[in-house]
Amino acid sequence: MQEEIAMLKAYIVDDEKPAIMKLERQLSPLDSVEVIGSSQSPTQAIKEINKLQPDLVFLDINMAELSGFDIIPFLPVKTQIVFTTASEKHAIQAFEKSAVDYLLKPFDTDRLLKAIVKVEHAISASGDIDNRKEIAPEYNQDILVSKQGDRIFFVKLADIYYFKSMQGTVYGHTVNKAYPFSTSLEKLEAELNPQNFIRFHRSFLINVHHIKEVQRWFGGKLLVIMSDSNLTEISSSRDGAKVLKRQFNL
Amino acid sequence: MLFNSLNTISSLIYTDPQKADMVLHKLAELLRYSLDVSSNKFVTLSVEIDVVKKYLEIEQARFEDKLDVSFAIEQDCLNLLLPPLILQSLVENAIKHNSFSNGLLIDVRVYNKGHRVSIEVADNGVGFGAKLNSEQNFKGTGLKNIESQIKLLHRAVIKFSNYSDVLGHGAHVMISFDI
Repeated sequence: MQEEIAMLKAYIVDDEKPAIMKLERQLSPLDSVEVIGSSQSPTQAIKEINKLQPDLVFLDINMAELSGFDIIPFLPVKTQIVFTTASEKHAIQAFEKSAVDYLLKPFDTDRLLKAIVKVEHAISASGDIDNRKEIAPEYNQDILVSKQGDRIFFVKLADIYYFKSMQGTVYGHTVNKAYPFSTSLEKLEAELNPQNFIRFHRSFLINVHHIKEVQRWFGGKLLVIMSDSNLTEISSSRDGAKVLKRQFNL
Repeated sequence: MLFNSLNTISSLIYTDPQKADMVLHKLAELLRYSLDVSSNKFVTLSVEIDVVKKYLEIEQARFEDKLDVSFAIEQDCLNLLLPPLILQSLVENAIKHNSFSNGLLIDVRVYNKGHRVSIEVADNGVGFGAKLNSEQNFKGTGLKNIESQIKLLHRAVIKFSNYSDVLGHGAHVMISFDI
């Protein structure tokens, strides 16, 4: 039975009018998103977003009146946030603020579509659990398929040290290679066995069988060193550290 | 600034192609200038002001004319030599840190008193706030660069203040040096 997918309601906050117009133009041909409002003033945006309750907010970070980070505490909790900014330097902070994605201006429509797919996954992952069970069998073979142009690579799930989300694409890192997968970390997290794969950072899902060492870090965080050839270091978020500590009684 | 301007161009290409073209060319000139002058220790004030005006046209396209900048430059100061991009950074700072919703005014003055020249940039924005008294904290990379650049000028001093008078309030920066 085909289920009707509801259109995402989106709101745009940006202090530059041309930036709002560009995003509206990029979104207007899409069937999956409807722009229900926009504002150049962060304070006005807070009021309108609480009234209109959009599913998704495209949020500029560097605004003179109030930064995008400053207004997040005033937005409804269930609102999905996609940051739009010209500067790379806020990326880590953005994901710590639970942003679904981070779009670097100027971004093309393909990149925007990836962000929208991520938002849809994030919304469905937060939805009911029965849905998750239906998709799960895809991953039961323990083999993941990575398509790169005309070549298709088969990657054993057990050989993946960690998944990393970068620029809207998820990469599965083996001991010394990385394979792109058309999925999202949210989807993988929901589908993979949480005994094996732990999400303890916005952009990483790690395979606990390939952890080499864990070091205590400041603020209750942990630094995890993987056993891949680069000895990749990944710092946990505070919540992520709790998951890891609970699982291994650290 | 660069990537925001590219984003503006990408938007204007559809809504206002002529303006998109204008912004693109101003941006090209600004980039060429900043690449060219990076090897120069000094440029003339008149060249620097031309660049600031190009920069402002880009910002005006981004923020739709809610920006008003006035220049009061004494004629005999136009050939003065200055480290490049100082004036541009001061104006950019005023724009970056202030909201445009009520319109932003920026006032640029350069004048010569005896043998000492002053460059003043004032705006009607939020000012430096209380941070001004905590010395280092309010200075970003831009201001720190300016501070190191002006060491090339003779007996140069830079002062930051918040002003408040009958006309309003905002931030005020003044650089003065001997000639």
